[in-house]
Amino acid sequence: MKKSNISFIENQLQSKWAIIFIVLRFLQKLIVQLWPIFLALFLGGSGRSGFEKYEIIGASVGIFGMFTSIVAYFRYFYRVSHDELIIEKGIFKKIRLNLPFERIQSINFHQNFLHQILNVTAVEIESAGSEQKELKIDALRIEVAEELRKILLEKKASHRQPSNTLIYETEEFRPTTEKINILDLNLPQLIKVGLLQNHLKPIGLLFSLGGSAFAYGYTIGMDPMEIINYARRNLFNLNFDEYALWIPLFIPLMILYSIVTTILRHYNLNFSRSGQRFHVVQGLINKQQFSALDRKIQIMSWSQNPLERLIGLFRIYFQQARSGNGKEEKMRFDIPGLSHSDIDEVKNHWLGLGRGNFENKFGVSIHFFKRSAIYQCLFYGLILVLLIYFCPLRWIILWVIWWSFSLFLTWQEYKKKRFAINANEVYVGGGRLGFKNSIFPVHKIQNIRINQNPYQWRRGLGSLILYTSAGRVKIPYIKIEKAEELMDLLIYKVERSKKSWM
Amino acid sequence: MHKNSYRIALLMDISQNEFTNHQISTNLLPKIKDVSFSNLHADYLKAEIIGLSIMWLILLAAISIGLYFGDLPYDWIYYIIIIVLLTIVISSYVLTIKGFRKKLYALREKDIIYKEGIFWRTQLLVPFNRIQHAEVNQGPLQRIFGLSELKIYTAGGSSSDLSISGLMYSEAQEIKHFLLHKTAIDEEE
Repeated sequence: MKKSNISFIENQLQSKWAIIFIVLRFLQKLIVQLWPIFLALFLGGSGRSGFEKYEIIGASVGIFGMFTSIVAYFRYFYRVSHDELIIEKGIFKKIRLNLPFERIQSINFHQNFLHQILNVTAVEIESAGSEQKELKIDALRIEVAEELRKILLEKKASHRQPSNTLIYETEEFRPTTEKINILDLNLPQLIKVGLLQNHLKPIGLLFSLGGSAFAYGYTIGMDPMEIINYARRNLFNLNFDEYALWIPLFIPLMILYSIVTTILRHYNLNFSRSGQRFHVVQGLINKQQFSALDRKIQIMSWSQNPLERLIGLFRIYFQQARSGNGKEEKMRFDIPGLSHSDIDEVKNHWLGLGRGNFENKFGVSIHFFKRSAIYQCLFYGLILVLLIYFCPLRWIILWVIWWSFSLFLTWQEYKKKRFAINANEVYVGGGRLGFKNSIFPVHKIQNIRINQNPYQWRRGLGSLILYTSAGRVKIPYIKIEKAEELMDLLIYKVERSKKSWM
Repeated sequence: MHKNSYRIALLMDISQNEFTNHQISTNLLPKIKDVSFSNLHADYLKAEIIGLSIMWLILLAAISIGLYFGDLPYDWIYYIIIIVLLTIVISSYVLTIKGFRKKLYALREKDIIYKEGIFWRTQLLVPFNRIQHAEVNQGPLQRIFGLSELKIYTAGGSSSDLSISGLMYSEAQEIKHFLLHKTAIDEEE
């Protein structure tokens, strides 16, 4: 086998295993579009006459899929010319994609379970600009993928940017810069991180699962009344104490769920930095390897929930500018288990040494709490009246406790809301039980809006909304004069800044 | 002292970047408050009212046919429906007229500002150096009056895109050219 002396000058095929991934994608598409038919066949097919018909149709669709997948594999080529990466594909119509080196933003590896078994990796190449789509190669042998990445990065580095594409900052792309490790998480640390997660998450998941199960049942012709009756017999007939009995049983399950999902997602997490970018490698079944360019990151946030606060660990979030058809999940990513000094280190890497510090932070108007409290009291009060008529005392007490808790959370949100602006950056922070702080350079702002609802303008207040290309940041309920003053100041900085937002 | 901290921040920025040391405050910055906004073209109100009237004619015709053939048990229900409908129709005209006066825009050297809203007020400011592209659209009713809609896109997402209807077609085109020319100059620099 040839090892590392592939030059990529001539058309290259993917690894043979790529056929499997093409077939799987075909099946996935088929199932996504036709799943109700499959389900109906699966559930009610056995008693039906003419079942062979379906089998024949199924088999022919399968054979057609196999055939086109194999053709697709042999019609998919990639090669590296002197100034761009070229991909040619298409079964009937030939499609040629060209990606000039200077547009390459990052090259990410993605390995799911099957990739790992077969010792191959999917390669995703992100590009700058909105019109160019992201390129994806289904499966390459790891050595080949590494080699391709090396060659592309080298070529990109040696390739001078034409002067008319200087829409980016003048930072140089240096793949050879040494790697600085910021964080490594081993298994015990991951379990610790898992323990600190929000364990109530699976409850929401359960509800949505229940909801969709109900909807599925309905679409394949099950009697909805029967489902409701079944649920009522088995769930709602329990009295209050029996519900209470179930809770201790669920808690360990929910904690286990958090730990397992954390390990699956962040297994062997390595968070590092080289050149002008952060790198992340993580995952057990789905192995991810991706990098985020400084100029593409628009907002950096860090948070602590109450559990993380006890231990003193933080989670960090990056929001990257959306490009073309960028998937949301990749545009934002988060890293758990960081210490306070790690956060400072990341901040220094991204913004520059000593940047991102704020002397004075400002709060928002008390009306931020008041208005929300008024609405809550209307809503909770109305339900309370209904409860008093129809439900036993225990439920009423529970409702009042929940009401007070909700008011407490709103109060906390008001108390914790903070914002600040220094010479180069904007800070907005807040939270209810925990907190989340966000920070971004002023020149990342795209445009600014001031909103006033009737409650606000009667009291001379307004909300300032700062839009970046990775989402918006809101400073709610401040004096309208202050909002306008901030708008003047920030827009002055944006218009004066020569820095590009990406 | 707290109130002045962003002024201090501004001071620091100016002194760091240009090495001058004049006393400065946010009072020297161009202010949104001082901008004189212009109303949209008066014909836009006419077009809006005609559009609204057409909509109500169709809707009211449908409703009255329904009421004529429908069989309501009591007469007073008819009166309530008529009163409610009249209130809605009248207030829709009042809101359109009042809302028109609240729709204001201003063009500055480096940005464009648009205000609107009677109850929920909003003002959006888009700096020229963040504009991705701009377009001028014309609906059928707008075409009769020679009006058009100017849309300005940034990378800030669809909720932050600026759209001004009710500009004269020629004016919208002029603004568009002005914007794109400005953006081009900024990029060359």
